[in-house]
Amino acid sequence: MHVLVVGAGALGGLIGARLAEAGEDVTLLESNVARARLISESGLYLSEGDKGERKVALRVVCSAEGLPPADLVFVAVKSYQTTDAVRAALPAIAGRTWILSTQNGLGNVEQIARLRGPHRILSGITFHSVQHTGPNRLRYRAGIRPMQMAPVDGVITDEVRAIEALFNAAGLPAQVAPSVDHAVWQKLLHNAVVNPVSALTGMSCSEMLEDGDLQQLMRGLCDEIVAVMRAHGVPVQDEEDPYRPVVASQRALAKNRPTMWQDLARGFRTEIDAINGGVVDEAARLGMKAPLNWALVKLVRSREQERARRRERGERTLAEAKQAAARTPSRPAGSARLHGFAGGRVPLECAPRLKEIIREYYRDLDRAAHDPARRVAWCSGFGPVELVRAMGFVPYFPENHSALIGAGRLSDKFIRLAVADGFSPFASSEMLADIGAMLAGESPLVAVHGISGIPAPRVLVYSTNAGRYVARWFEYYCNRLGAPLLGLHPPPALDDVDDIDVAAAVGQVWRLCERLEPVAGAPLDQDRLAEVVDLSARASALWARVLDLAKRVPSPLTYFDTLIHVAPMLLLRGTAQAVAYYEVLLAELEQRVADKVAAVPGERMRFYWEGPPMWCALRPLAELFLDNQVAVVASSWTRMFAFEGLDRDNPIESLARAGTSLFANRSREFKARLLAAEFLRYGVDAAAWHDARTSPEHSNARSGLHIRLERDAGVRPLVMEGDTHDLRLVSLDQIRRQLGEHLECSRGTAARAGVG
Amino acid sequence: MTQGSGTLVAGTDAGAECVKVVVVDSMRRIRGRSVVPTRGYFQDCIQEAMSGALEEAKASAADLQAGWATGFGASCTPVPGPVASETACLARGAFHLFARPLTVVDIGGRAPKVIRVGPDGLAVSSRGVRKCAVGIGTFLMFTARHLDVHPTRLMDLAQGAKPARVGSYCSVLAEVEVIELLRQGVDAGEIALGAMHSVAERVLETGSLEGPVVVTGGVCEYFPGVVEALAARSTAEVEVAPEPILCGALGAALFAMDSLTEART
Repeated sequence: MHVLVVGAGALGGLIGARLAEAGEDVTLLESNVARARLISESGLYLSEGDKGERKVALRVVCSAEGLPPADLVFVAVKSYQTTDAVRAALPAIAGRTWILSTQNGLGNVEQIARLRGPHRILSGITFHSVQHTGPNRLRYRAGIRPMQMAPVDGVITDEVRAIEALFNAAGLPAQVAPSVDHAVWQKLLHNAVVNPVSALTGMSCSEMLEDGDLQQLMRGLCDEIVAVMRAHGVPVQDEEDPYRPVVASQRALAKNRPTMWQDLARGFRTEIDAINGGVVDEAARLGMKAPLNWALVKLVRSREQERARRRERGERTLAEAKQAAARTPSRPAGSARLHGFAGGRVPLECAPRLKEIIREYYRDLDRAAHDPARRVAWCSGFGPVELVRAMGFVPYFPENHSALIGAGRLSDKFIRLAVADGFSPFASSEMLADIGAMLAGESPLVAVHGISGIPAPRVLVYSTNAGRYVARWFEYYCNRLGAPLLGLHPPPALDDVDDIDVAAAVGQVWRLCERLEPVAGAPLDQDRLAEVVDLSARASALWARVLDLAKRVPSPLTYFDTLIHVAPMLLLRGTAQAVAYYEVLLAELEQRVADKVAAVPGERMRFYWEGPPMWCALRPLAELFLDNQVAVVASSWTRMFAFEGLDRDNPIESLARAGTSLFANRSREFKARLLAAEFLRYGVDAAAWHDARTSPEHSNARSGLHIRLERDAGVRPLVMEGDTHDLRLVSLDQIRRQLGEHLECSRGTAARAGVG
Repeated sequence: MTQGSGTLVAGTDAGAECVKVVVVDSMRRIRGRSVVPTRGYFQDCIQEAMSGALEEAKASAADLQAGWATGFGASCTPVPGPVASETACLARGAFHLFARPLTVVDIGGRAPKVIRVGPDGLAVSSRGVRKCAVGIGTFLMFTARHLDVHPTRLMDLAQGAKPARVGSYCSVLAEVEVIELLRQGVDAGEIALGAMHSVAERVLETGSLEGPVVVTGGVCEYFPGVVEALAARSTAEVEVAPEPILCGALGAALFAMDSLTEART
């Protein structure tokens, strides 16, 4: 049988894979190009319960043009995509084609009927639990009940029986019934009561069960839906107490939240219109009212629309920024190259603004250095900058200095000086470059930003959350410069961040406060801290959204862009300038997305960068990937600056939690899970793993994570030996060859899978 | 120039230790070949190898319809032409010779490679050794020089010996180890075999070999002990390609011939 599965998501993938395994002629239609390419090239990995994983080769296309007419079209998209998806499948839908929808909510069958007429449509319902465990990996639990399906016209023909047999033969139990109304409404009852309430409150099922007020609301919702069901003539499962089965299903789901919550949290559209909206429409048709369902539809839609409003605000901000720029003609012309590295072939208009705010930061630092009333604190990049700032210090960041030295190709001379001073050439070159510059009494900041020199520290503050070497580095300055050294040592290698770990980190932050107060000459102002944490949270959220835009195909920005534009997250975290900057950057990038501007023109492959930045070779690397039309779209390193959970109402604890939860501070298992999810989110074809010679703590390829991820996520690794700052440890020629060979082998795979 | 089997193309593999040139006719038979050691500038060595191959083919440069290059010095051909990667050329050359899916283990002067070739003759994956472990052929040449034998005689020296232990982590350190073994008075045959085993270990450190394995590159021609050590350490069936040193150049020549065929159709 020719089967066309529309949508290669979780359910579509499962159905497609099982039918293909059973020998049916299956094609999947998927509008997401990256997903289609990944599954075509690497296959789909399927696991059931504890049984091992198996790979299923699948044909996935992005257009139905040219496909032979299908015998069966299985619609497996979200309800709001039904019309678009079925329209896309029309070239493969002939008079004899059956269309089966097992989607959530009401109104799907009607949408399909409007496009191809009411005949040969099956309405159905499934109970499978299918989860993505990697970009092309599914784990599923067979449904508690067989899939049920019923022809919309109620006439069970031999052809319908053949479709039933098709699924049963593929090990997907199915039953044909004269009507599935009862089952559809029963599933709807659960979804309409549980999903929107969890989505709006953010609570898990067990949390909702413990909340008396919510249970009242949910019972009210249930009563409304049951009234509509009775009027519609559908039997109710538990006549005595119709809410009882809904309580039971909440208990079963326990700590889980429905996907509507995830969709809303990620800013995606939800299925609210087909679920509660379907109830409201059916009630209206029957001359009834469903005010609670109506209210939930409005509340969820309002949250969905917030995203569109944000985009509008962004466009306004961008227009205003452009006007302001036009009024200041003295500013130098825009340049894609900042600090000596390529930002991509299409320059971001924000770049001059970035240069300006960084220059202003360093000028202010210089003023502070010469003002006896102000105090400079040296701070590690992922350390408690917010606290330092709230206590009135002006922070200075050796890591940014070192990155500048690396990107400016100045590290060679400085590393030699540090080695001559007794350091091993294999100690962190990031540290050696900075220490060497101090030994030489030189700094690129003098030439780049016109400051008089590196300001002397009144205190040194660090956190080891991004690696223990930071403690050694700051200790050296403590011994040499005589400033007090204060550090946070959060519990490392955490899988889950438990309350006990956060409590330990909170204790350390309070002790840091106590010890900082005498240096600051004033006690911590809690209101000021709340304000700084709030600004930091806002900048973090904006930065996360900037990084998320790289999910778009083509990507409007590259990893190399993010290494430049991350600077305010480091230097200006906790200030209004950083927030304002990221609002403008986000607006510009959203405009790029709308205009379909690609950061890498002709983007033909997408890579993830894992490991620390290769600062000393950024520009040639950026050009190398650009020339090969490879968009390096994301990296865990730049993602670390999108601090999560910072909360002005709970500043100390949220700072401690965010600092402890940092990617670099997590277990190998956590990293594997997170990277698998990241690879999927960004739809990458491969991952470039930087094995940095002097940065073992950040080089996850050292513990074989690249092999693990190739197995778990199907993402091919390209391990590049190199270094963060020491150019002598980098062979660009070797990386160029490796990339060329990697692309060649990928093309071979693509050619075999039939996609170009 | 007549069409048909009289059409000639050249493939150049400019390696770090040797430059190889083959001349192939339209029946895809090798009509001329030449191997010259890479000393001095690549351009001069390529020119010399080209003359040698043309001489064997009884042809002149003007008879060549196309020429493709590969290898470390591929960009140095006197007449700039198309360049293909080593992976592509080795896969092409080996598949032409064996016509089945296989694993090519290429061990030449510089960076050894393990290439999986799929049923369609295209490379599926390509693995290399760590940066510190490159310079394999160069290391064996160094060993021969210190044992004071011609490279082709290193194998004779190793006959019947037990291998001495030579590390596989870093080429420079391995060279120092060879000199240390000489200082300790260890038997030259043992050192010769130990050096070859060290090379096999470096290749196997990149991951296990899936059979059938075909070994190419100059090292297996001059130092068969490396292949024996590879076969002994792997469960896969290991065999040496005919004229192994020419495999990459042959692949480049075949690409050149393909380009003519494609241009005509």
